[in-house]
Amino acid sequence: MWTLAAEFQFSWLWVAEVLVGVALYAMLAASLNLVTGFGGMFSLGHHGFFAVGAYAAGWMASLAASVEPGSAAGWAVFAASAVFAVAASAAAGLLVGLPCLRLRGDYLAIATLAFGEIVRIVIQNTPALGGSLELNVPRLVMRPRGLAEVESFRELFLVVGVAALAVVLVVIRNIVRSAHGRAVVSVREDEIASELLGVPTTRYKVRAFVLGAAFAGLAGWYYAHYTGSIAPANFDMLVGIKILLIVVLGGLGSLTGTVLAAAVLVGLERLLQSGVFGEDLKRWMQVEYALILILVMLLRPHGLLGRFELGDLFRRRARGGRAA
Amino acid sequence: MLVVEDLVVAYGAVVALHGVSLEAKQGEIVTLIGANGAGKSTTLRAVSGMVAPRRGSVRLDGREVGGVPAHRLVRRGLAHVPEGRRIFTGLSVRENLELGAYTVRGRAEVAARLERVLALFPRLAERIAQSGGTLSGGEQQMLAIGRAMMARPRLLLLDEPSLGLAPLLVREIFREIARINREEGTTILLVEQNAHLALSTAHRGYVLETGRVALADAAPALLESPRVRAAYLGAT
Amino acid sequence: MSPRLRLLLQALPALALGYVVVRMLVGDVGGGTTLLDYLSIGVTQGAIYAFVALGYTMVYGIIRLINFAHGEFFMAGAFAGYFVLRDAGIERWALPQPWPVLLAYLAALLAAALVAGTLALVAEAACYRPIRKAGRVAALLTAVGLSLLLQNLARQWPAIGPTQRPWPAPRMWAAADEVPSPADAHYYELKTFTSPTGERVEREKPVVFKGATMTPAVRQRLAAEGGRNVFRKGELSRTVVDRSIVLMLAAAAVGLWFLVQRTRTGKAMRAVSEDMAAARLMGVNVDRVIAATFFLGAFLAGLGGVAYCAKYGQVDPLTGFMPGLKAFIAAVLGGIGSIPGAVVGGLFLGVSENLFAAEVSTEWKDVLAFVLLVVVLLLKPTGLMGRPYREKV
Repeated sequence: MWTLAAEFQFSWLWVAEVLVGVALYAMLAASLNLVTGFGGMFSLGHHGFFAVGAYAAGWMASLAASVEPGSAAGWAVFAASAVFAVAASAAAGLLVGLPCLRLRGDYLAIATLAFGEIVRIVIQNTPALGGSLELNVPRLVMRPRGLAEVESFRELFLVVGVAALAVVLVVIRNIVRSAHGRAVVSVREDEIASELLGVPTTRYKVRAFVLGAAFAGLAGWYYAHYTGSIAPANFDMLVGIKILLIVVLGGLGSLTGTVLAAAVLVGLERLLQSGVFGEDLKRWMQVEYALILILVMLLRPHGLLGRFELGDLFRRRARGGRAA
Repeated sequence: MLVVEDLVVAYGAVVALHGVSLEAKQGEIVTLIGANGAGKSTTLRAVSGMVAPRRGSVRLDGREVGGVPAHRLVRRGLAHVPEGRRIFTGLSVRENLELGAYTVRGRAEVAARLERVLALFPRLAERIAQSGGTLSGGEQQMLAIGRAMMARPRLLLLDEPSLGLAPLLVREIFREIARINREEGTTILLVEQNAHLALSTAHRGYVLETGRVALADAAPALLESPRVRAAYLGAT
Repeated sequence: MSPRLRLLLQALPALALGYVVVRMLVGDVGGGTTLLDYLSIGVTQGAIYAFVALGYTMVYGIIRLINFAHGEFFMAGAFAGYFVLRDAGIERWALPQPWPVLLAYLAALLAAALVAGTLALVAEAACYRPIRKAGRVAALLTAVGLSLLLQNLARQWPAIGPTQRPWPAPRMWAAADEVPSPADAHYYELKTFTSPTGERVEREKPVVFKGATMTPAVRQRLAAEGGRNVFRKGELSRTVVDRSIVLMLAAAAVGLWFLVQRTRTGKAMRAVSEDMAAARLMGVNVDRVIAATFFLGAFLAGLGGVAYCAKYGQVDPLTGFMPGLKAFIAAVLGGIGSIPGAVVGGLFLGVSENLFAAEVSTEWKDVLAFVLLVVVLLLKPTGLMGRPYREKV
C-alpha cells in the first residue's frame, strides 16, 4: 500500500498500516477458508473476487466524486458501495460456481485460476475502470491531509477493518456450526457418502463458494476505499497465491489459525520491507519470502495449527493430548 | 528361505501386526489365513518392502531385508502379486509382462521368459496386444501372476488371488499356482480368504488373528483342526 | 457422432496444419498479413507452447502435480543459451559460414536443455520429493514458492539482474584481410577493459563502416593480431528461426513418443503414472523414474526457452511466466497427462490466439486462452485428447 519514509517506521502510523493489512488478508483468507478449508474446493482464483469487489466499490465511488467526504451522503455511498461490492462478487461467484463446481480437484483449481486472470484482463481492457492504469477511488468518509489526519484515517479504517473481519468470522463460524455447515464439511470429507445420505452436495458447495466470493468482495471494498486507487496489478495471481498460502499456513478449516497466519505473514512481509533486518535482507526480500513459503510447506505442510482452532489447542494441552 | 521373526507393523497409531513370526522353506507353498483385518496383507506388504516394519526381522536367504525398499527386493528374487491385482490397465498385456521383467537386462532373456510365461498362461498369448484394462477378471489375475513370474522369483507372494472371481476360474488359478510351485520350484507365500482352497493347495499354513499368529501347522492338519473348521471353514 | 465423421473432423485440422507447415518449409511465409501468414505465426508460437506443455503434461501425468516452476526452468534454459551465445566464442571458430553460428546455436540449445534439466533434478530432490506425501495443496504451493524463488533469485543475481536484455545477434567473424574494400557491412572488433568496479567488460568497437575502406594502419594492426578478429553483425532470419522451431518440435515429439512407448524407461514412466505402488513391486525405482521425468520435461523447456527468446529477441527473469502459463493452458486444452495432447493443445492455442488477434482484437488476445481453458474444462474436462475422466484413488 503506502510506503513511508524511514523515520515513521515502527511509529503508530506504521503499525496501524500493518494492522490494516492484517485485517484485509485475514478477511480474504477467511473467505477462502470457507471455500477450501470447509468446502474442500480448491480455488486459485480468489483474487478475482477480491478484484470484482474492489472495482465495484471503486466504480461506485467514482460516480460520487463530487460528494463531500465525511458528509452523510459520503457515508451513505460508502455503505452502499459495500453492498454493491458484495453483491457484484457474489454474482460473479454464482456465475463461476454454477458451471465450475462440477469440476473436481485440480481441474477446479485450474478453472478458478483462469477466472482470476480473465477478471484482470477484462479490467485492463475496460477504459471505464481505468484500463491497465489506476482507477482513482474518491474519498468518501475522510480525505486525509497532513500527517495527523493520515493517522486518524488509518485508525478509522482499522476500526472498519476489524469490524468487517469480525462480521466475516462470526458469519463463517455460525455457518460452519449450523446444519448447513456440517453439510458443507461432510461434502469435504466424502462426497459420495454425503450424496447417499441425501445431502445435496452441489447446492451446498455453490452456497459456500458464493459466500466466500461475497466476503472476498467485501475485502475488495475495504481495500479500494483504504488505498484510494486500484490497478489491475494489485490483483494478480500472486495475491491469490498469498491468500491460499495464509489459508494453508493457518490450517485448512481453522479460522483462528487463518487470522494468526495472516498476522504472521503480513507482519513478516512488512518487517522485511522495513529493512529492520538490514538492507541486504530487504533487497533479497522476494527471495526470502519464496524460501519461507517453501520451508513452511516442507516443515509444516498442514499449517501451523492443522485443523484445530487456537482454543482447541489449549484444551488439548490441558488434557495432556498431543497438539497435532 | 524366508524367516520372519517378531514382526511389528503400524500404520500411524494403528498397530496392524503385533509380533508375527513365520517361515517358508525352499519349495513350499505356505498359506496365511484369517479374517478381514487379521494382518495377512500387511504381513505380505512388510515382507515385500512396501511398508517398513517398526520392529522385528525379515530375512530372505539369511539376509536381513526389513526396511529395504520394495524395488530392490525384486532383484533378490522376490515378487509380490498385490491385492486387487493392480495390473497396468493402460498398458498392453505384453508391456505389462515386460515390466514384470524390468530388472532383467537383455532382450533375448526377456523374450525367453515371455515365452515361458505365455506357455503357463496360453490365454494371455491370445490377448497379447490388448490393453490390460480390456481383460476379464480371471485373465487379469493370470496377467498379474504371469507378470510376477517374469522376474523368475524364488519367492512369490500372492495376495487374495481368488478375489472377485467365479468359482470355476478360482480353481483354474489355483491349479496354476500349484503348477508353478511344482514345475518352477517357486516358493509361494499365499494369502487367501478361501481357507479351504488355500489349505488344500498349501503344504503348511498359519492362522492369523488380530495381528498375531494363532495357529501354525501342516496344511492337512489345519484342515482337520476343529478350531479352524469352526472359524474359517464354515463347518459346525 | 459416427466414426467416419469423427475421422473427418480429426483429419481436416491435421491436413490444414500439414499444409501450413509445408508452406513454411518451402516458402517465405509469416511476414505478411494473409491468413497463411497468421497461421504460420500461430504454428510457430504454438510449437513453443508445445515444447513447454510437454514438460507440464509429463510431470502431471506421473505425480499429478502442476509444476508452476516449469516456466522458470524455461527461463533458466534461456539464460544458459544466452550466455553460451554471448560468451563461449563458438561463433569465432575457423569454419566456413554458417557453421560457426549454427554450432553456437546447437551448443546454446544443449546448454539450455542441460541447465534446465539439472535445475529440475535439484528442485525435485530438494522440494518435490519430500513434499510428495504431504498432499496436493502443499505440493502445489511448494511449486509456486519455487517459481517465485527462481524468478527472484535471477532478478537479484548480479550476472542476470532484473533488466530485459536483447538476445545476442549472431556475429560473423572474419580475418582483417577478408574484409572487402569498400566494406560490405559495418565491421567491429571486441575490446576488453576493466570497469571502475573491477569487472572485465567487453565492448564492440567499430573498425570500418559499410561502404568505407579500412585504414591501412588499422588493417596492419589487426593483421598483426592474426586470426579472426573482426566481425559483422548477422541477423537471424525469421523463416530460418520458424522452420527450426517447427522441425525441432517434430523431432522432439517423435523422440519423446519413441522414448515413452518403446524404451524400458518409458514403460516404467507409464507404469509409475498409472500405479506407483505396483510399479515399485516390478522393481522400478520410482524416485529415479520421477526424477528422469522432471529432467526430460525441463530439458524440452530449456530448448523452448532458447527458441522463444531467439524468436522474440529478448530475455529477462520473467521471460518464463507468460509462456509458462500459456503452455500450461495448452497442456490442459490437449488433456493434461497426454503427450500427443500437449502438442495438439500447444498448436491449437498458438493458432487460435493468432487468428483471434488478426481477426478480432489484439488486446483481448490473452483472455482468449483463459476462456478457451474454461470452455474446454466444462465441456470435456480431460481435454481434447485426454482419456476418460478417472479419479485416482
